[in-house]
Amino acid sequence: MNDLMRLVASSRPARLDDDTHPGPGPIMAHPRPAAAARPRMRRRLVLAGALPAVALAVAAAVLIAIGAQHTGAPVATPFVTGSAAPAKPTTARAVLLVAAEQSAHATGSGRYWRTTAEQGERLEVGPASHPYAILRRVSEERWLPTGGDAAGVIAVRMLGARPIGLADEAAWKADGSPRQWRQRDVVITMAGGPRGVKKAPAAAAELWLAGAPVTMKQLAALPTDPAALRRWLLARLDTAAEGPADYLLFVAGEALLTELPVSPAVRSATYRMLADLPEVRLLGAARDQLGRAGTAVGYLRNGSEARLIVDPADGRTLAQESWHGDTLLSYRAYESAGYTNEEPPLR
Amino acid sequence: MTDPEPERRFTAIYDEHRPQVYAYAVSRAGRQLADDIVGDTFLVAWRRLDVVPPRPLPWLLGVARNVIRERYRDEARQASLAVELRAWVTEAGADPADGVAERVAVLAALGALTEVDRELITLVAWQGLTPRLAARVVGCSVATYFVRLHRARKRLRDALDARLVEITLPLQERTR
Repeated sequence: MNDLMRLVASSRPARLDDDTHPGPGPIMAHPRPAAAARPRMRRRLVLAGALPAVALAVAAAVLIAIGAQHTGAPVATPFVTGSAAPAKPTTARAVLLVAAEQSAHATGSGRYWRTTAEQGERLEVGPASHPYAILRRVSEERWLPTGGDAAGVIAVRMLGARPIGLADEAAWKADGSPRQWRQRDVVITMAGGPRGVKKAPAAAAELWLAGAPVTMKQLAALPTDPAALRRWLLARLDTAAEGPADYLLFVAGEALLTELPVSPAVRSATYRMLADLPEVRLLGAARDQLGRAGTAVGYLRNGSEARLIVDPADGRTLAQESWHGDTLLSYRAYESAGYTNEEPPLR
Repeated sequence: MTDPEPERRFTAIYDEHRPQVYAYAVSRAGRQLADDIVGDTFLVAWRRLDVVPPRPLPWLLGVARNVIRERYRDEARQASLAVELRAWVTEAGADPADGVAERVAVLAALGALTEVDRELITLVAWQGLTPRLAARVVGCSVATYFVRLHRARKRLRDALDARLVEITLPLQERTR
């Protein structure tokens, strides 16, 4: 520490110290996932608001948990769902290798990299004695500048929320059929809302890969050989702090396949890298939450499964989903991704 | 069949590191939001106890950072933070200790920095992290952290020089 840093250290405000000293009891009153996995209704889902934080801490390329929206504006590369899929692959490896062959993602360039997606999250609400689950959906459109000093823009529209299954619906009715729910400081409404647009602060406009911010330049220089890509990612990951390497590679791979502007060659290498992860398993034909057909592969960890739904016909990743047993916890369904020279929406 | 082990480990982590997580939350989002941020952060730690590393502080601050980033609307946090930064300066000014002018100037200059710069500096100066651990919190390489910290320090130095001139000039005039 030099003198300046010492000066800062000695100027530390007393306000940084908490005078109340609350104990850990209230936090430990929440069930831990291992203990809570048995009953069908898991109170831990009440904490869903904290889940994205974990995802970020782990490695994903997630930005702020706000979404965007389909504006009706022209979309660079619409994700059309699979037409004639070739011969049915029988292993996750085969699916991913087929996807690698077909992988053709938006190429080219533009002032912005734009993605549109719908995300959904399962939340537990209602009285403690009779909780029930709702699905909250958000539509999200992100404009990330590819260079220079333009600000990123994130447009979000709340698509509303609904009880998920019949039992949830019954419990909701017993709860008085509320049209909105409160989760800590957030009010979730059954009806959707208007679109909100905001300039992404610098930190939120950062792209993330393998636990760290990544620049467009770095993405452009990513290895196109699967083994080299794997080494590149592993070199960034702090596996001691964040979990087993293969799982983190899977998460990083999801980011490369869904949100990040990378070349078809890198996407292809990503699929090949994922194909070589022994833990990835084939789940078979699946539809994403937008009803698009694809093939699902999954990575099971700590009782929760991260799934990718891939369209083998064109190698696109349609959606990411997070499951616990047969319960869908959250999803992101990607609608379009591509470069554009258009101007982002202002409001 | 309750297993006391997770409770014991969590309590130890909580007791040791809560003050630091709280301090970080205050410096990033102000006292108004700090309790909630700390609560959310330790909730993640409790639920994910199996992945909390043996030296948990950088991990905890990284989680707090993400909680701040995604749970709080930017406007709400900026408002709370603005109140906080002003309070640092006024409370330092009310302190009868020696070197008040200098502390006021340092805190005012810190307040004038960008959030990114302020975080880079305070993680080291106030949280006592080595640049290696601080780099882990903000998710960059150590080399990058050094470069960013160097630039941030330079901007702080510039801001401070400007402030000290402002503050010391009237004093000199008085003694004249």
